[in-house]
Amino acid sequence: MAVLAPPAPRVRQSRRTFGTIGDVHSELLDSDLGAAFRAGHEDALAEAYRRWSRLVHATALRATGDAEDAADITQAVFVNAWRGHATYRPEAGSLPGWLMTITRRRIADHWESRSREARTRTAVEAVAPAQEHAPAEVDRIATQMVLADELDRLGDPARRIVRMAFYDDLTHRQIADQLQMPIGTVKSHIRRSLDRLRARMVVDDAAL
Amino acid sequence: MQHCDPTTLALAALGEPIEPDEEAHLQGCEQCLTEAAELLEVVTVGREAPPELPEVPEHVWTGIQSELGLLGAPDGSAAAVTTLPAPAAPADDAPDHDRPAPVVPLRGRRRGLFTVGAIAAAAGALIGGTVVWAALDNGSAPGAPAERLVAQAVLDPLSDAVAQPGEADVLDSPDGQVIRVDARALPQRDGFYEVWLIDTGVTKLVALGALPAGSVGTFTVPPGVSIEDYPVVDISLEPLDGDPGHSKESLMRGVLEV
Repeated sequence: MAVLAPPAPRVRQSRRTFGTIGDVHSELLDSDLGAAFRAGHEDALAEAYRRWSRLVHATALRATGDAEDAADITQAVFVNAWRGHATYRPEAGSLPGWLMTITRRRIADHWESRSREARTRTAVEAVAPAQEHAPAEVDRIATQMVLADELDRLGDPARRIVRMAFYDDLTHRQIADQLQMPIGTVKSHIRRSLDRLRARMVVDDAAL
Repeated sequence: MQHCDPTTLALAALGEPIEPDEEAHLQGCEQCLTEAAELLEVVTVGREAPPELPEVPEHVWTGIQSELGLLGAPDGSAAAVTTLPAPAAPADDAPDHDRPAPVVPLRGRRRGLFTVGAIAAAAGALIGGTVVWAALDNGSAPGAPAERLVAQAVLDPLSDAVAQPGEADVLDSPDGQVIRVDARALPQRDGFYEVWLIDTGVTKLVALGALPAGSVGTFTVPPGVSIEDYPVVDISLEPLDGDPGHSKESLMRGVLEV
């Protein structure tokens, strides 16, 4: 049977010969991948994992503080997502947004089971409902990781410049000095990068 | 005075000092404050984030494969899944594999503290503090239409293999313009289908992405690309030859009408 091949990752960069596609940083557009994922192409699962497993895992790791739990949650998220691939609706939100929704549920389940264990252990002892603060806290962690993820995707020199501004606490002048770059270039990288981080934050928050 | 330069607002959000006249304007301008407060939120959350996401242990992927039974599927269709594409690690800095992401403390802001404090305080006073961020996404406010139809095209079959026309809808969504392509009439063929926007002279093309046979796909119209300039929607059958160009084998085509 002739089966249509799943959309293989393609090098978008070469499309620039048409001069019409701006700052495309992914090989395969996320929207294409979302459609292929929904349609159940197994390559799409591998590609989604390649793109977003670090985001899912980092969120779980920071939320639980435990490497083993984080690995279990990451596995559960992708297994759940794949089993429910037909329920993903690309028009309702991005695939990473959807994966992060599942991640937050799995983290909540994890805490719920931990608090059940704690209640069992302490028997009659009154135990305050554990992790009441959890959802808001997980939201915050998820947003942090989404930003870290997007920062990772910026590409140099923008990524390097933003890291220097965020984590090395350098001014744009100091960055321009260190990288021997015109001040205006550094400033425009900062501006455009913050805009892009903001856009991703809004999109993924909306999806959560 | 004029509104603050966007770059100035970005620097202010990072804690850099800005010119006194811009600072004075910022204090009283809701538009600039809103912008600055949003950027400040990005900077604040970004600085709390780890500089890099840690690598995922390799056994997680194999665990997923075995739990889903994707290894050695009888029909061989899962063969490609066993070779996971290499992770896109940043080229210039080696990731730290085993260490959990450290919680990065908020550094004391040495510079421009007044500006950052002023943005936060004044934004709170003027536009209600924590609601700033929530209010930003007003595109999805209750009752507001999430998507608006701006153009449509009937995609005429250009091949005998296609029995029925398809459709393309261009929608304005909160996340930008998208095009929804209904090509359920396309048959299963070797290769894959690619959706394009083409100009009226048929000299310039924009590739939107791959569309599985028999499906409805939604694609982002790249920012800066206008459907007025590229009104032709085209679906081609592309061989798996790695050539990113159009195969010249179009199976459906139509012109968008606004």
